[in-house]
Amino acid sequence: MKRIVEFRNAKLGYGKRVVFDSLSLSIFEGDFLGIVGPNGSGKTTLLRGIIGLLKPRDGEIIKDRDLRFGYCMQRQFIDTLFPFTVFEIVMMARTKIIGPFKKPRSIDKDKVSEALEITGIQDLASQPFYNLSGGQKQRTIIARALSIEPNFLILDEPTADLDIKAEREIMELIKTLHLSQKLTVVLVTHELNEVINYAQKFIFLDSKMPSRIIAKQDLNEDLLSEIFQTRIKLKDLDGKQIVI
Amino acid sequence: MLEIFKEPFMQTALLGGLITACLCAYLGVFVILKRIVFMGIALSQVAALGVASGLFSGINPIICAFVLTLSGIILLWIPFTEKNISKESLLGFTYAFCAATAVILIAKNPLAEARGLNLISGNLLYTTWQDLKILGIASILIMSLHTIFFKEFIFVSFDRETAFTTGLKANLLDFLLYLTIGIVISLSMKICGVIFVFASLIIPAMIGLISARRIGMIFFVSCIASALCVTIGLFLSFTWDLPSGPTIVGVYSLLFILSFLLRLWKTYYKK
Repeated sequence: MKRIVEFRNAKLGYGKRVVFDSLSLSIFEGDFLGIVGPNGSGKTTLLRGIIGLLKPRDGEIIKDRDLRFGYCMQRQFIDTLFPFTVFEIVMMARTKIIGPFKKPRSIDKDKVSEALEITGIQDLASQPFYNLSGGQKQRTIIARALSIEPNFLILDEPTADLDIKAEREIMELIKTLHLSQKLTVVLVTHELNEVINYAQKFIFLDSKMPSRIIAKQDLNEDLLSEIFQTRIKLKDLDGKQIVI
Repeated sequence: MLEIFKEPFMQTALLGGLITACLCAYLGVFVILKRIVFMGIALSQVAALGVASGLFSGINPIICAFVLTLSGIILLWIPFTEKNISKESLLGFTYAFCAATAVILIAKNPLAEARGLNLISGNLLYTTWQDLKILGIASILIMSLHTIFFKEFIFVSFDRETAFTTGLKANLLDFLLYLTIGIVISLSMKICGVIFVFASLIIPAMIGLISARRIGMIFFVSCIASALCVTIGLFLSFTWDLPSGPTIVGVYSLLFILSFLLRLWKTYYKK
């Protein structure tokens, strides 16, 4: 499989604070990677490193030239003061493609409509973003990422503060996108249960162990107990795994 | 009402007020969208210090205001990483330092003292054709830039991180936006004063925000509201012999309160 992102002894941080001293890991084409850790453990820092918003102070982050990131930022950080409609917010992502001093062409409108249809919110196109429910807002953010036809989808806490129904629907949508559109997916969460049945690989942050990628088949109770420094049980229920 | 605008000094005052207020009202929507209201007031005060420094040193006040505002923009644009001091605190410090220094510089210069009050409260009646020429050229350049990059400025102001991931040069666009705000503030300061400039950046945009339901309409309503308030404010200022800047700000405030009450009434009526 093709390696599309590689951290080589990358040192990442803000100001005087070093979040990762020497991080080495690789992401391959078609991966579904779950980044799991509590608040403040460096999950968003790692995402920012992948996207390029944060440059390494030392070491390097090597990325494939053909990467097109579809970034889904945390829903709570999207401004709800202004009356942007769902369509307008999704169209924003195509600003670079449209180019300066130009209006959206029919192809841009088609791509936006397509993204809204994939995420199941075509009926909400003319609704103001601030009127939507948490799940609908998350779908809008995913549609915005999809409107530029990405090959790498990055999601920062997509199910935070959602009810259980909306949480499952969003995770199923992400799984469908990963499989049907062959997207590489990196998903950040602080709750292992949210992602354990969807991701193929995991990174656990803020543990006593150095950050490394663990394949799903290698996850077991002993390893998880060691990572989380508490007794963890993995149970099967209706073909799905739950972490207790 | 039209009679008073036949006076040449009222014509320059009206034109200067309209250009400044409309530019500030338009840029004010970005200031609110980016949630940098405190930066707006701090930069207004930095520009005021520039004018005071110019009057004190004998250098052109507009040039001084522009240089200081540009320095302020660069400093405030750089990501701030000191964990013990918040950016808001730094803006508060900038405001207090610039306001105090401007007052000291004006107090120590007998020639500038007479214009000191204008620097704070503003007096559009002193607007000259030379001021208007500079303001007009700057307006054309700024509006051309905003016409070209309007979509980009909106995206970067709304969600800078995602804009960056789509390949937009978010840092450069951010800087250009700050630069245009800085240019307007520094050019307006000499003729309009701190209170007028800051109020024009914030209040018309607030009126637009509570009155309009579409993003394009917010810009339109903000500019129309600012133009209306400048015209009424100048008329009241002339009629009742009041300082023009604070009078216009009073009209802005009144219109905002009326718009807010109308919004409340509509919400209540709908229920």
